[in-house]
Amino acid sequence: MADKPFTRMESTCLEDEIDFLSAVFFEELQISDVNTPQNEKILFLNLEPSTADDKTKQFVFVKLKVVIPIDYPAVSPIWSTVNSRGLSDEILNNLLAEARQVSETKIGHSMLYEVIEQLKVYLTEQNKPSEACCVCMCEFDAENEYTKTNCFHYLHLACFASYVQIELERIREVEMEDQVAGLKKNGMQLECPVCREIISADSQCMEDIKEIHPDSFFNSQASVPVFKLTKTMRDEQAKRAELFQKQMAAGGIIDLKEEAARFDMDTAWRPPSPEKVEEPEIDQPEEIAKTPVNDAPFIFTEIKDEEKVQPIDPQHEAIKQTTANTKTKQTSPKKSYSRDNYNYYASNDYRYKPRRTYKQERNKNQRNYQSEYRPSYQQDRDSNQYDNNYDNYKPRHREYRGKDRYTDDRYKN
Amino acid sequence: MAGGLPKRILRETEKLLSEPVPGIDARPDENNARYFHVIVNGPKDTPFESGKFKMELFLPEDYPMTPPKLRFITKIYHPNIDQLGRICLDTLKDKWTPALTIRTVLLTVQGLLSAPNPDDPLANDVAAAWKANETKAIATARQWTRIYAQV
Repeated sequence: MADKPFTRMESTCLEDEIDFLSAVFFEELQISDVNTPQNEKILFLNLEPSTADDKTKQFVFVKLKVVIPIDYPAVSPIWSTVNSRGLSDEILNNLLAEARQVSETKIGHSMLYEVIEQLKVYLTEQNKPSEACCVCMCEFDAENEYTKTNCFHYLHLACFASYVQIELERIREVEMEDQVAGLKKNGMQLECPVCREIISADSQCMEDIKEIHPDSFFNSQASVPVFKLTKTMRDEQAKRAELFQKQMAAGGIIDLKEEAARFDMDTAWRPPSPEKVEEPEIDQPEEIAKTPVNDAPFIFTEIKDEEKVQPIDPQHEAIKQTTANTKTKQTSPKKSYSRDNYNYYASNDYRYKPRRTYKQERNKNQRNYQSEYRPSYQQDRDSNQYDNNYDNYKPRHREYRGKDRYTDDRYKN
Repeated sequence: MAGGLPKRILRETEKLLSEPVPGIDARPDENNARYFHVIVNGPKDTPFESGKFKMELFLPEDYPMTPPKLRFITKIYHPNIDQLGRICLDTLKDKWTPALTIRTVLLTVQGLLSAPNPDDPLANDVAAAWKANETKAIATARQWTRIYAQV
């Protein structure tokens, strides 16, 4: 210690140093009250790059945890990060390495403030988001403008604009369905695509995308597909084809046509005729029927009973299938899923089509809403074969759509 | 093909091919880069162990804003997967966010095979059987795997 003369700062105790830090950093610094067995002092510090207090220019943030041993400053404090935004693991490691290195060189002196200043300089150098945009998976560069959510996540303006448009559209659709079903739910809100934190309408990022066309992500992203088929891929495909044939031979492949026929799935839904309900055919593979399993009796018969009581509602299936398959106009689920083109999506009619504009999409939804839901509902009510009492109908919502027809006594036999 | 393929899909495909997920094999179709042939190996210590389940995955035109469409092609006895092979998974429906990828979705499916959830069923009969007698249902699932999902 003789060759390291004490300065005025060092002669004061740690308390003074912490007082000094809290005077500089105000609420950025939190001092933990927890008593540790080794009597260490724990500080938390929110470190931001210096941008002359312009919050919109801050793209990174790190929360540091400093454990100060009782022997400080004879030993260096232990630096770690608690929370960070916009920084890759590599940069965080570099940051901590720098902190350790600087504190090693200053052992015996009070070092906290100097180390923190060094880190702040380093952080300011790194003040650009280093993680890729989560929508397009491209890095951020000077060419493409980007924005920051309140939760410190970065997205290109085009990516974020498209996300917001499609997400708001979806929320509107769900709310409309809930309204039709008479359900009152808490309003859904726009969420950050990375962490699901709610993005308020008046936040800066929403302001930033006001001028951006919502389709710009799809327009900017369109590129000529570069797709090479290598020999290994060919071999893999041959293997797959073989596997498929084997499983097909064993009866292990879901035949959509057959399944759809079994449950009488049809777009033009009629109440099932009594015979059809009575005989839900289970195409039971012969091996299963023959194999006696002693310890675990096979439960195909049970399935049969279950299905008689509560078979899959064909209308429900049909609607789900229609919406699942494609957004655009759908002919019939039977045509789309058949044995001949089991990989329906690979077929020609589902190739890339130019996106509809926002307005077309909205008008389409409104039209569908009127033609699909309302008139059929009214027809049901008008025709005498159904109850005229509205209360007997549950609202046609996802969960409820049509299910009651099967619990209805009239269709039990 | 009139339009193109977003860079994101190319990037994801490249990554899937260069660093495949253990136990999952996903490759794009020869004619359509939005259609993937997937094979998921049944996870260990589950009734689906040693099974190879074929799936199809399709990236709709709004991807990554809308979730990929995913379906089992191989028959599977699982409370959250129905007769048509459709999967009950929140991340494939309303909990989708663009931060999720093909990789994460396939990992979730693998997780679903490891942890069937009969309380949120898609196949009502299977879920009921699962709840009524779990050992029996697991034996059935094992048998289906043995019969249908072999190489």
